[in-house]
Amino acid sequence: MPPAEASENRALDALVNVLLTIGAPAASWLTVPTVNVGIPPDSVPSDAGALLYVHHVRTEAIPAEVGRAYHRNRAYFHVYGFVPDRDSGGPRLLLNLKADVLRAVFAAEGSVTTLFGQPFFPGSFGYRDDMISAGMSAGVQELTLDLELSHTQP
Amino acid sequence: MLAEFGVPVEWDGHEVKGIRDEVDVELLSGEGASFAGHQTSVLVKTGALPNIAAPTTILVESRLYRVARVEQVDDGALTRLMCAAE
Repeated sequence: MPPAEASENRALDALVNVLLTIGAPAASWLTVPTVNVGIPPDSVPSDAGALLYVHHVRTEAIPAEVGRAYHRNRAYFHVYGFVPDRDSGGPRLLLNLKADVLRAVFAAEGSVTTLFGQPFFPGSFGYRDDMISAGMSAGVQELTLDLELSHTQP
Repeated sequence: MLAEFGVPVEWDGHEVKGIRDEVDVELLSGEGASFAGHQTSVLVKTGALPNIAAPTTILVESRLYRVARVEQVDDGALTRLMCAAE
């Protein structure tokens, strides 16, 4: 049997599953985004509604505590959100998309903790006006997950 | 230039000639990530579409675009309309 994938990949898969809960049923959410993994090679479409792109950014070691012999890492993920900037309403819609992301992350705390011993923790969110000239508002939400590494499934 | 390369641009009852450019440009970069956007711009003679301002919509060769930004270029003789497909 092949070994388990990298812990960051397993966490990324879990995060994608969390984000896929957004929008169903539509009445319970502010947005109905399309969830994508990784960075698209092509242009982000401005007429495709709300879009999410999630990727692993980096992993940092968490120093071990005195007397404890385990390995812990903090994995950082960025969730990029894009919304059409119709009638200059993009920034407001983007914040609603961010709120849906956080709502989904908080709702999944139990299931993620069962898998990894910790839930995803939301970090900073930043609005980006770089895509305005392409008709979109954009923003990035940081999420972290602390992972205790096993020697056989790092 | 506009007469030779221009295509029909319609807005608020006016019909003028404008040069449409469509390019993919890397617009947003972050940690380990870069995103490209599809930029559409339409260059018209300044004043040809009086008082046009974003947000509004224009018709270019029968296709509807949302105007995201209006900016005068060079010496102000021309105005560039930054657009997105509607």
